[in-house]
Amino acid sequence: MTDLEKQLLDALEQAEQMLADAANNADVEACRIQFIGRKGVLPALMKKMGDVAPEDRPAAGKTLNRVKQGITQALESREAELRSVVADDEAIDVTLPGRRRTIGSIHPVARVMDDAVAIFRRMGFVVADGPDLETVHNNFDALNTPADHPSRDVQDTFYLEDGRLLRTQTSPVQIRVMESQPPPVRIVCPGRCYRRDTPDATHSMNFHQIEGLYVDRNVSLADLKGVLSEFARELMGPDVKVRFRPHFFPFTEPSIEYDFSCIMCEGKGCSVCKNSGWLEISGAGMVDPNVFRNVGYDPEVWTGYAFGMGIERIAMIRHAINDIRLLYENDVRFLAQF
Amino acid sequence: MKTSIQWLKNYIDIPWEPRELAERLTLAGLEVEGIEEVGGVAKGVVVGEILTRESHPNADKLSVCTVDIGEEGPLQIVCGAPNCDPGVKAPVATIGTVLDEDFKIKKGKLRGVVSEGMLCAVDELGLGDAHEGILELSADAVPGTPLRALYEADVVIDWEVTPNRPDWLSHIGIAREIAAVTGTLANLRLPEIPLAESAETAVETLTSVDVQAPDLCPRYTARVIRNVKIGPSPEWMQTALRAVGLRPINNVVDITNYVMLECGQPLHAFDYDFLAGHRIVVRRAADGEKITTLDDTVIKLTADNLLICDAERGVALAGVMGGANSEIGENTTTVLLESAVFDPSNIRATSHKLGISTDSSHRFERGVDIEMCEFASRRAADLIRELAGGELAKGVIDAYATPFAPREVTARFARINSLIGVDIPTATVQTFFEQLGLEIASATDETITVVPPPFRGDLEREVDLIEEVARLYGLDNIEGSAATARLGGMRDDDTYYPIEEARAQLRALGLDETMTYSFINPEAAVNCTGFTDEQLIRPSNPLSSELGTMRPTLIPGILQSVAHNIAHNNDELAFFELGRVLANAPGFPEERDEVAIVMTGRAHPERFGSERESEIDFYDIKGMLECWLEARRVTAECATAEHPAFHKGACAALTVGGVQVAVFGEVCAELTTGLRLKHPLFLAVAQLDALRACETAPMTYQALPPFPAVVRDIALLASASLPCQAVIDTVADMKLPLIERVDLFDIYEDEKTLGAGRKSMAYSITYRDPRQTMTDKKVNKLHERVRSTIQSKLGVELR
Repeated sequence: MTDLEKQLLDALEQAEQMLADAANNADVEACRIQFIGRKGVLPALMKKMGDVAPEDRPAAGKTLNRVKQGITQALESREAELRSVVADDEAIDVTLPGRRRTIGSIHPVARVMDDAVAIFRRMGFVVADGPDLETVHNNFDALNTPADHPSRDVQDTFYLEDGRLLRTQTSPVQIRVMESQPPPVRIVCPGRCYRRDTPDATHSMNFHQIEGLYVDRNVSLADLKGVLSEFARELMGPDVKVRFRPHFFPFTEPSIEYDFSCIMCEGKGCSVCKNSGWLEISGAGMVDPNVFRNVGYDPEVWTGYAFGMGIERIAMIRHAINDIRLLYENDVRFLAQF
Repeated sequence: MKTSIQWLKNYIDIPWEPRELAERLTLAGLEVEGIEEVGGVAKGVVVGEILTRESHPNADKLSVCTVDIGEEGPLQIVCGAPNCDPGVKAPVATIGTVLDEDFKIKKGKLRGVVSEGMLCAVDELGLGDAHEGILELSADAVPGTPLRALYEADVVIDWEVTPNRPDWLSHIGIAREIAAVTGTLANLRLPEIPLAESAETAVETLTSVDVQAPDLCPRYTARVIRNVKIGPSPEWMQTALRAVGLRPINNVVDITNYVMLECGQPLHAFDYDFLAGHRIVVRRAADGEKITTLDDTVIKLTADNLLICDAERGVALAGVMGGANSEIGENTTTVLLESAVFDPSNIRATSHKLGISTDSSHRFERGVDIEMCEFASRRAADLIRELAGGELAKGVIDAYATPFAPREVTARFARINSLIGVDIPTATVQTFFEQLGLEIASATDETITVVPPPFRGDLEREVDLIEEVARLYGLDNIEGSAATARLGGMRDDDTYYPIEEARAQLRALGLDETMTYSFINPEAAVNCTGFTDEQLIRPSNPLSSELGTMRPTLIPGILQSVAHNIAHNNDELAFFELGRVLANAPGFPEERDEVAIVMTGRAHPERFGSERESEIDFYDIKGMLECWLEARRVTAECATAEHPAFHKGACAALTVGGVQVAVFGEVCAELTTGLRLKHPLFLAVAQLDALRACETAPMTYQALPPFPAVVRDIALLASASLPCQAVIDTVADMKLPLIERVDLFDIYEDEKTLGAGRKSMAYSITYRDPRQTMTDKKVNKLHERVRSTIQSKLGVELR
């Protein structure tokens, strides 16, 4: 081993010692200047390479590289160590609370609405919208509702002085869309509706619905059943079944009410489904020819189905919420659960 | 509509247990509201035969009996009934039996004598009201037989009848439906009416009917029954009425109720002797005319109400309720029986306006079978004759101006199958119609024409017949077709995306979504909201004055949500509402979608020490809005603003091209008084439509800078009132393309070192040349220009 090599290895040792003693970045920087700076130890030793006997040069060169690398690495690692606030021997208390970035929550009613819209969009429906303040024509007359139908009463429907009303259902959007475009029509309409119900555990003066309307040639009740069955499976799970029961609505004929098999007991009967195994969801049916005539569609050429459902009702079933008022109270302990 | 199974069995055989019947009819469109067992005798009650009877040693009115209940050794039972004589067979409630839900029979002593059970009266078993002694069973009853075997329990099903099917509001109507579903119409048994009229007196000699408002009363029939004896109706009728929830009154009234529940035709019985002139006039009431109804209420009428009158006055509010002045009473001997049809809309309006709803009005307003009218009259008259010992005057007065005209309805087989989406054979369709009682007028290969019976007023069109086919075919049997995926329209036409997107963004910013009612207090609506009373949109029939207006803004609602949470000690709040608001105000399109955000509490309540105490402040809500707008690619300007909801001096507005899109700040004291806030409350209100209007389309990609930036700092001493933005704007106004950004990094105020009303501000300025690495020289030159411009334009002192 040549003297030069010895001096190089000494320099490495010294540098490592100096870095071990370094308390801060300035000490590290001083070390850098002292050993690999322009006027530092290593450049000085490198100049001596010419003095080494030619046969020793390769070994000396290797040592030089090793030392240079060693010092550089030592500098970097000490720097990194000093960047860390905590010394190796005093680990941080990982059990202290983390600094949180909360992710908020979507209201359970909005979540059902989003899910429903997403499912129907995948089936090819597009969302249509209408105002909350509606005409009697759109909300009742055009939907074939008899002039003295109880739902028109001031007991049940909110009216304005100018004769308009707060829509009691999302169905007037059907009328708006059909009056403004020729068939075919495939829309869903989510939105807020109003009925003059005093709030209690199951009633609310405003609530949300999603309405669907599909008008085309040769649309049948079987198509309606297919769509609602698919919807039920997507929203509630693959095993949920749909049951149709005949019913009566002025704007559809045949009219049906539809139930989902109970998700709580899988149809065996429980308190949620009142032991029936079925959860009543809402109404639907084939668009009444009178409604088509009212909007200028030829009922001989076009047939269609319409369906509606209460969003709150589904949200309440989904989360086993027993009081609709919880949905409008906005207690953050409630909201944070969704 | 409640029906008793026992009662229904008079008309049709039911092949199913009550639960299955309920299920089957539910699937045919008759929804069930409830099923309940009535008249069942408690378990543990058995037939007993009284063997001996002795007087009780310590009580005059009690007897001590031995009773055989078919077991070894008779029981000793103390009884207070007068008729507990040897040989009588009577129900015995044995030890352990629970009567009337909570009355448990125990072995015990009555006045010192052991009693091992109870001999029961009718009322004690829940079989009726009678309490005159113990129930005497027939002589052939075998001791020990459970009484349940002798007294079959009845089951009552409560049906939810849809408004299109008033024919289901009767036992015969439900029986017809059962017949249709089971295909057994031929077995339907309608009651036989012998109708023994007395030949001497014709009804026309006793009374007359003058219908002066035939539009409101298309048919009015009257019969007269004389020498009636008012008394209780027979037990079978009382049991039937009680089962479906009606209280028995007397034989004549019970008969009218029974026949109404049997065939759906409401009836009314007048005391003939109280009818002035012994005649009936049907007319509109005079405005202000009064009538006292059976329930002793005085009602003031208008010309919209139909009144049944005698020669002088009103005696019944047509179709709704009888009058007190002609009520059947104990001493009634002659009955005038009304069976009539009234206009549904008129009855509905009257019932609704006067707030009186009765079994009668319920049926009339839905529509009764005009052909059933006379049948019901005969049926009731015959029952009165039979059960109240009356004599029937001959004939009936029947004011029936326009008799029912049957109509034909035709359906195409192809249409039936295409609308339902099935393939039902034509013969099956015809069978369905026949079982529904529709007369088949004609049928071809393509079509079928039927004549619906008068009680099926709902069958007017082809599509109505199609519904009947679907119903009887069974909706369950329709195979759902695959959900179709033909496109509904363009994504841009879909109005839900922007709303969904905004909600998702606000949620990602850490906010919980809330929903509040659209109806708010009109005072709150104008309190510090910027709206006036005249601008509010109010329903003319609000639920209450506190809910008197539609919300013109989300502010009152979201503050209500804050109040609820603070009252429940939820002090750390960060939530939003996105909802529609309504008003008539300048620049307000009547309805618009608004977003409100509130924040209050500590920034990091989950941490500890001083960090835990740091409060959310103005810049937290500002940052929230900035991040949200950035996500929506909206660049807005922020400036001090004034809005009544906020503290003066802690309120700002965001504007885009001069249009305000949001206002935010600290909520003013007037709105927070009484809230018991622990921390200041911050609120932001943004107009979603305005925001959407100024969103920019996704921009062209900007190449990432290949050359490094150089940062130079600048510190200045300025008046405390100099806004941060002034420095940034001054640099921006220089329009130097090589300046990338200007950032404030420090503000320092200290009266001692800087003097009063002064502050030190420090900014870093980032320089970058997209084409080359900037030299120190070039940066220094630019930076010097910036320094001198700031100094001269803003009059600040550079440090």
